[in-house]
Amino acid sequence: MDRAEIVQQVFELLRRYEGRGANSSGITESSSLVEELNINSARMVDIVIDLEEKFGVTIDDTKLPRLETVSDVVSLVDGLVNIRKAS
Amino acid sequence: MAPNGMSVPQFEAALREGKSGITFQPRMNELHLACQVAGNPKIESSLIQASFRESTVRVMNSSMMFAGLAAIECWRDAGFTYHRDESGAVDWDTGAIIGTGIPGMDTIADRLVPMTNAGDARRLGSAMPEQYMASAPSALVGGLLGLGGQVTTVSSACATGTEAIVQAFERVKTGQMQRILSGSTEGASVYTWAGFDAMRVCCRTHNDSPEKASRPMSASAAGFVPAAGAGVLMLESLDSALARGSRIYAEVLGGWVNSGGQRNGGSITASNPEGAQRCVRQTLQAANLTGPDIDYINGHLTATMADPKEIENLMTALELKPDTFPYVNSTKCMIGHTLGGSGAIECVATVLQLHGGFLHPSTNCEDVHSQIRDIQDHIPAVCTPASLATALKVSFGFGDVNACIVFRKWGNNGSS
Repeated sequence: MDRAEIVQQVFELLRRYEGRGANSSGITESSSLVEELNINSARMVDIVIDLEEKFGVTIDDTKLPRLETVSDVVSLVDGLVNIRKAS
Repeated sequence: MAPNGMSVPQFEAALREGKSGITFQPRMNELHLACQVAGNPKIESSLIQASFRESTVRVMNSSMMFAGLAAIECWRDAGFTYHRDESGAVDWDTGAIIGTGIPGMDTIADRLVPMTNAGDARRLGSAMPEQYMASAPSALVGGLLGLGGQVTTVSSACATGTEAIVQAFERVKTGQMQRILSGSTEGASVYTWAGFDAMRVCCRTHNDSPEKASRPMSASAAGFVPAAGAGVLMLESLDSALARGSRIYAEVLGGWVNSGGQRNGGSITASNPEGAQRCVRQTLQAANLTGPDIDYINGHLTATMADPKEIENLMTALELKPDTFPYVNSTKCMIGHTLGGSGAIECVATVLQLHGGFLHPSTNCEDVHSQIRDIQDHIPAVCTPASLATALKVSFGFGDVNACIVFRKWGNNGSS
């Protein structure tokens, strides 16, 4: 799975968490999760669980506060997928 | 959102037809409950998709979903616009008092406890407390509609819904709030129903004929049929409703809430007759009415041995004889006992009958209980056109709590 595929799958997953009045059709890698996609910050826990299931990775809880943009999520997943491949 | 109707038009049609919403429940059978029938509203997925964002659906249990759908329909019926994306400004003039009897049982029983016991609490996600907190239904409704007034949940067992509407009435009457969405909800969970089944208070004689199982006021009544659902009424100040040109179904004339103190025959599960009678009398006093003014009573009448006692208490409180007793029916004959949801769903039924000029049949009461046979002519066996002006709704609940309210058909006050 390359980064472009991860980006598309992350976009698809995040759209399910769009907040009140959000228009996630305009989602980009630079989109802020809370401020632009209006994702309830409490839902980051659920997003992490979904990412773990979708990509077969384990995400340490300490990573949560660092996930501010879509790009942060993609980079985290990309890195974990590559570590898994390498092992 | 009742077992026999998932919208107001459907519910009114079902009431007129005497249509039952009680069905056989395979899960109750699998779990060896003695009662295996229930009133379990089946919501079309198309309605859910049309009503809620996907991210909202994921964090709703059944009691929240019933409350949300009922509130959205009520909101629209009252002339307001609902945005599925939950956009729009805060409405500072509207609140929500949405009660429930047993919060989030399906969330607790189906996910919270099994996953925690399996050592998998980390994967419960973020949305557990918001589903099992007692105020989950009102919080959901407040968020869906952007309500900026009081948003709260009341809970008084089977008196919950009527109590919520009485509370909303008092808030609007005193000018503290312009409008309040008021009512109650109860989720669908076999675990809720199992507890009542264990008390031997649910019907276990009609598993093969569900539509006959709920038999209020009948000699062959064998216990209540557990059920789920929600009802919501918009209570609005008359000035505001008239100014908006909204449809007015009925007026609230007065209500009362009390307890029998669990003394003199009252207990955690039984009603002190004096408490129930006082609640009715004080409701009449609040409404400035007397017994003969009441045209119709929507009873609590659950299809247990308490039904004849309830009729006796009503007759005493209203100071009436059998021949002058009002018409009386029990909506539970068609939908079962929706527990915390019952008061509100049955207030909706009461208001629809006032507004539509009919009495719904009290089905499954062809064999009226011997102790109340002297009022059997006042129990509609079929749907009956009726020019009703004033209706009394009574609800009684565990904890020896009582809630009563009087509605009057809009246009019957001599000045409108």
